[in-house]
Amino acid sequence: MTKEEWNEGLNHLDPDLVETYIAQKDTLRQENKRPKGVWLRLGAIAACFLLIVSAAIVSPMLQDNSMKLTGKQEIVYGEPWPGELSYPSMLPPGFYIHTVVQANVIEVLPDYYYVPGSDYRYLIARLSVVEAIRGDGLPDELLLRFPYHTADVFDGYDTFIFSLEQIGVENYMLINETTREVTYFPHMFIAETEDLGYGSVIAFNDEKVDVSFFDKTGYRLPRTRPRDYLQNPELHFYPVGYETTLAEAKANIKVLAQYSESESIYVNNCQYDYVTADDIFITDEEKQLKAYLAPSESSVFLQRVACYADRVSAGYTRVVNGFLTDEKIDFNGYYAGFYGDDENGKIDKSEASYSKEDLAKLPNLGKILAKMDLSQIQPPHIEITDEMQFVSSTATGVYRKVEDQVYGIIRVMWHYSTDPDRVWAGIKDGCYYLYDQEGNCSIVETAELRELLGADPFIRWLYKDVK
Amino acid sequence: MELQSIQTTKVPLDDEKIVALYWERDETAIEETDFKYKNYLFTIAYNVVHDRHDSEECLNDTYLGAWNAIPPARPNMLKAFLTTIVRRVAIKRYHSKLRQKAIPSEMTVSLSELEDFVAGDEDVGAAFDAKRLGRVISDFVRSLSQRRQFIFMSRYYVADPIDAIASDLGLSRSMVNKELAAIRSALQEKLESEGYST
Repeated sequence: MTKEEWNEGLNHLDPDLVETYIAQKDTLRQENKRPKGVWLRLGAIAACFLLIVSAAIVSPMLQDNSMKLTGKQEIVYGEPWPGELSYPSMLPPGFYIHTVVQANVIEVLPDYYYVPGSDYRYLIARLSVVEAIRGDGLPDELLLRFPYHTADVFDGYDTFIFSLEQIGVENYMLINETTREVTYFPHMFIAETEDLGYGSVIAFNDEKVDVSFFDKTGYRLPRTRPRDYLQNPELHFYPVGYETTLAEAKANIKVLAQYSESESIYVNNCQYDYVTADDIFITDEEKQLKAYLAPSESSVFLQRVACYADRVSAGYTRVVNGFLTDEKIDFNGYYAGFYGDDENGKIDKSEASYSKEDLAKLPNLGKILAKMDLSQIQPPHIEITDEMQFVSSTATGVYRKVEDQVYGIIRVMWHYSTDPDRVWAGIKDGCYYLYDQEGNCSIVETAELRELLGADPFIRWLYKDVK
Repeated sequence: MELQSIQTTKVPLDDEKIVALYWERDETAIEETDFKYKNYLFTIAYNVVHDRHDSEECLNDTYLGAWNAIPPARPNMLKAFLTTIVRRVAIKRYHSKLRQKAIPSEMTVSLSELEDFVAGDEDVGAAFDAKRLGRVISDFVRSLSQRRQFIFMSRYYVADPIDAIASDLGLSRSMVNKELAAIRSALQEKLESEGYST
């Protein structure tokens, strides 16, 4: 295919994809603004499939204000995302140099965890740091979040070299998939490529590289490419070949780390190897916010950090009962848009902010989802034919605040396939259930929800809107 | 004291009103479009052709394209509609100039990232079905996560620089690069499965 043909093909991209993209871009680049439009469905509540059956039960349930969340709490999240446990990484191999340690794996925690609002599943490994090859001030023990492999993936090897990127400080929050509990972790890292195979994790036995680890992690690229890296490591900026010793690997990494970011895409020149809360909460205002962001009885804040060459940025999103809200606090540009709001010391807060009174009025989405039987709900816009095979249906929820009103929203999505060889295509449908603080529920269309919330990333074009 | 001056600030019209002007064949539709979207459209054109004069000409061709298309079109989202036109116009100019000399634009860089499977500067082949490829790419984009959809469109549809994408999403530059690498890998697989040789 020529470049011109590729661009001609792109010129024929479906228009709705362009529209979605433009809407997303505008959202990211605007300040949080809420429309002044009227909520259309007040006083005209449509039938909800579930609530018709259990209306008498639902109202008290929706008004249940007994949610209290401190540290480990029971959370009912509802149907998890189906399909693969986690999105398989298809990153090309390459040793991405960030914070690099030699470490032993003490244990892999037995349960899977997920980030609220995400469909990725993770395992957590405890690492004991033997040597910091690149990185100062690291604690002796770190945590590694990694996707989709089995818990015994590290078994059978003496030691490892990891290149890591820090994603959390004292209170990195995940939800335990088995117990449905909120759990906090300190010192959370990910492998620089979030992949264990031919990426930034190398295994050693008897002081020599053990390439069986790469096969074990089941790398998805054609097999020739990893062999190329091991046969010609210098050519590919890779620290090990088939016969490299542990000592040689460390020396090679130090050489590779001397490249600048412009010379090699594998190098990250970030000056922050390890950050603590002291790197984020510096001014008096920031320290006051630290208290506001601490886990409380009412809700918790999902924390994410990112380290740049010149600053540490952190983003906090309020989570209630396991569901994301639209309250965000941004330090040094974590959620910043295009127009350069990323200088040190800048704090941005979303327009939405939940008081204790707001939290007391929120509908209990967890309990609603727990009682929701997706097999009893049919897609509202498409006709199911014999040629269509059911792939999945999911329900997920968020909280939103518009002016002084708080809402819970559940999005239900269906996916049917008409071609088993192209499951990712097929036919999709979806709908939204909107719960207000008075306990009312309405089924709303995409356009109506957009009028209420604006260009909210939770709102997706779930189907071809019938005009 | 008499008023020293009166100032008014022009406010962009709503898209619906601008589209209505097109339908009424009122040429102020072009002025209003230019007032509201000039910077945005210019950025897209410049990302592709990397020349101020050429970008200005792309804008003129875009406005003409919109004038000719509306009516009968009545776009739901005028910005997206104009985006598709400016892209087509800029790409056409890009490939036309590329035959004479290299163009140091973001489009050139983003195309070079795809060189494993999109290579060669030859013209479009006679048997090439652009609509089919458009459907294949659309299917692929829909299979991506929301974040990766955004990154794909930013980089390969409007040729945004990596730094701009990183800023939009609050990610590091290296993370955007990694996401792009994953996207390209999946795209290559998809194109191969659809019979496009790579």
